[in-house]
Amino acid sequence: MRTAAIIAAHHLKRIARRPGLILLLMAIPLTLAGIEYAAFAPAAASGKLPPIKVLVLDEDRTFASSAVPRLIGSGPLADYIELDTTADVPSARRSLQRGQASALLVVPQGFQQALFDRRTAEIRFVPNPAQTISPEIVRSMLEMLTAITNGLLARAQAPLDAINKVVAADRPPTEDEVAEISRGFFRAGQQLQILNQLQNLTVDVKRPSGTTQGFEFRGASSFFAYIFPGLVMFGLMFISQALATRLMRDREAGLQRRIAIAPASRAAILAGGAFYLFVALTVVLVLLALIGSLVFRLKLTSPGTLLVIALGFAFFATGLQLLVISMARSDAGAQAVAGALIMILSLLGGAFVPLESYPPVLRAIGELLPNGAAHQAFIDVLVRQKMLGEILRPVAIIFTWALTFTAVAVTLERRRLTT
Amino acid sequence: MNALSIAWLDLKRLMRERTALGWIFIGPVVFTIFFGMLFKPQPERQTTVAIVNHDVDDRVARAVGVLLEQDRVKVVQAQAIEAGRWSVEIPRDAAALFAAAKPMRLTLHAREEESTEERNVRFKVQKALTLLYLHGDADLSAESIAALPARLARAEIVALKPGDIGVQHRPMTAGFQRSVPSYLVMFVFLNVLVSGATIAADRATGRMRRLFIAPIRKRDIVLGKLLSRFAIGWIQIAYMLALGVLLFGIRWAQHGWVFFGFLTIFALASAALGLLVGTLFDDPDTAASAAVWTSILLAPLGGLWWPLEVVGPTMRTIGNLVPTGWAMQGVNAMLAFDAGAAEVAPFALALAVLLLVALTLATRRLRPA
Repeated sequence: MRTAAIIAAHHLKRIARRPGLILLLMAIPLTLAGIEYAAFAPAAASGKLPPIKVLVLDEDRTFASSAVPRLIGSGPLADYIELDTTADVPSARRSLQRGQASALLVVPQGFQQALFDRRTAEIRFVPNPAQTISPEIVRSMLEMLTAITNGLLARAQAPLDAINKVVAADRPPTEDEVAEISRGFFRAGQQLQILNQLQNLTVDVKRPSGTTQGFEFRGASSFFAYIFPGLVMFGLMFISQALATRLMRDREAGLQRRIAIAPASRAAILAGGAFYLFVALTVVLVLLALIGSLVFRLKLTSPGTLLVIALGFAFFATGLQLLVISMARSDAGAQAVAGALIMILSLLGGAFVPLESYPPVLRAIGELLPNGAAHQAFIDVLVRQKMLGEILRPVAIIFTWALTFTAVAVTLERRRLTT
Repeated sequence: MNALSIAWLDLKRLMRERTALGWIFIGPVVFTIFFGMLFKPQPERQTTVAIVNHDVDDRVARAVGVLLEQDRVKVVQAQAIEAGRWSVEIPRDAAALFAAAKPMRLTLHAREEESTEERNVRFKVQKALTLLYLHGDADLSAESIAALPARLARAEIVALKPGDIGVQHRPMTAGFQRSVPSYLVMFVFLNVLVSGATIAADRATGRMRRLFIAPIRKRDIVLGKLLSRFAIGWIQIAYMLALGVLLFGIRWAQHGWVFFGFLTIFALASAALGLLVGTLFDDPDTAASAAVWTSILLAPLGGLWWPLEVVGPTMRTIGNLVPTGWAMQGVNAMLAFDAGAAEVAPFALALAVLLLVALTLATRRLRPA
């Protein structure tokens, strides 16, 4: 045991003397968390996306066509859609190409006349071909607005028909007709009160757990509680690779052989390497958690539970790297295999995209992987305030992977040391 | 000639490294397929919504059901909420509230996590409720409920129709049409930067010293190093372009030569930046990590991980200031709008300036040891 500790301490001292590489790798999750916060937190905080720019091209230039942008820009959509007029199609195309707008609305010539003729008055919608999400949001909102407009127009149809009849006859309206048209608009106006009620029609969402929202933004800390653990584990796996590279290079340089002929047992040599990795990774995890707490205001609730998950993940990363170097013949080979494994684990484990967004099969796979399980466990503790007893399944998954990898690695490494 | 020899020998050495080969040929495919499939546009499938009625009669439940069915939703009437099924609860006093033109609250029972499907269902329920208040008769008789679809069709006075500005619309920000170009840009940048950073290894192993004592001008050494990294960039580009066509059915740009020229400038600028990173660090591992860190930092900022349309104005502005952003915007313009040379010239110019600045600095900083 003492020999193992001496070997581990020796490796750790080397890292402490030149920590540049590890510090640089630690910066990756911190930087990515900062970028994701800057990109998405404002929208998460306000509960809506930034206003989407839409261009309007009025080819009709009539009273009715000029009402279209006014209708969009003055109602509840004004918070979501930012309108800008455009002179013609080529300039609209230029703006769309530069990403300055997400869609173009064209009110074609004859729009007002179509309304009077009781023909369908079309508004043309052109999504920015280089975008998908924003144009779809705009389309949904405009569909709703169109439905409401049609409902209101339907209520004013009688007086509109009366006007149309008079215009078609090309004669001045009689006094009775004027009175009837006025009464019709008055009735329609009274019914417009329904607009106030439409704003109050609500569809509440209720979830099995009783919560009403999928992701509730409770300040920056809740945002980071969601995204930071996945990024930390992504970074930690790369750090484990950098740490394990040193063991591999020692082996290639003959250092391990020299230790092996010294009065040190194989078990002590193996344990020394494993301790070094485990202690270094645990220290890095604790440091990242503290930095997260200080910089990102992450609330480290249930520190004991968090420590169990962290130790489990550090144990897994140790086992993974030991396994890779026990099977590799060269430093380059070890790096290639470890890099590929880390990438695949990160993709499947939800380091970049939340597992919730995955299709069911991929999600089930992700939750069975050590980093996916650890990610879910961290979120359960940091966001949902769960205790250790409630996250036993992911914790068991992490430790099962860790034990399996370490056991296989130790077996292979013992065999290699013997030969 | 010396520069070409250095480039060729460097390229052979770099292409022998298994890690490099993995990141050039396997990494991009894994990322492209994974994210391409994850964000593939899903064909709209019919959602089933259960309506659970708590009102004294079923008039509102039936009317909402009819309007939802109009919107391609399959509706079933149910007695109770069932876990895992979209269910809409009609409150006890729904018909009375509707008759009095007072607002009502419906409850949608959703799954634990919010999803795109949930947002669609919620939107459709909200729309059905709105249409009911706009078009429904106060008494909600059986006849008026049955007549709702016809009434809605008659009421379609204003209609939103697809327009055309002479650009063929492709789902640019979804599926492989987004993941292939994005990861082309990302992996060219990453691999060229990391291979550029191996300059530090050249110094550490003494290779650079041997080159400097040979009768070769420094200019040729830099050019040779640049060309070898540029070649790696083009190997990556050619590989991704071919994969895009053969495996993912991507339609690349209409102006092929402009597209190739643009990617060439991007690869050269990335190679020069990689050389600069390699000259900044003594330790080869630190130099390689700095290159990875730079790539990972600039990829999301430039809109390679998520489209810039979903971020706020500040992040969009930052996206206009980084090389990955210039590359992605140029590629997007060519793919989505069939943009020509004049339209991508600003992005190409920005990359050319980066090439000149990075190459000048790298040349100045390059030392044998």
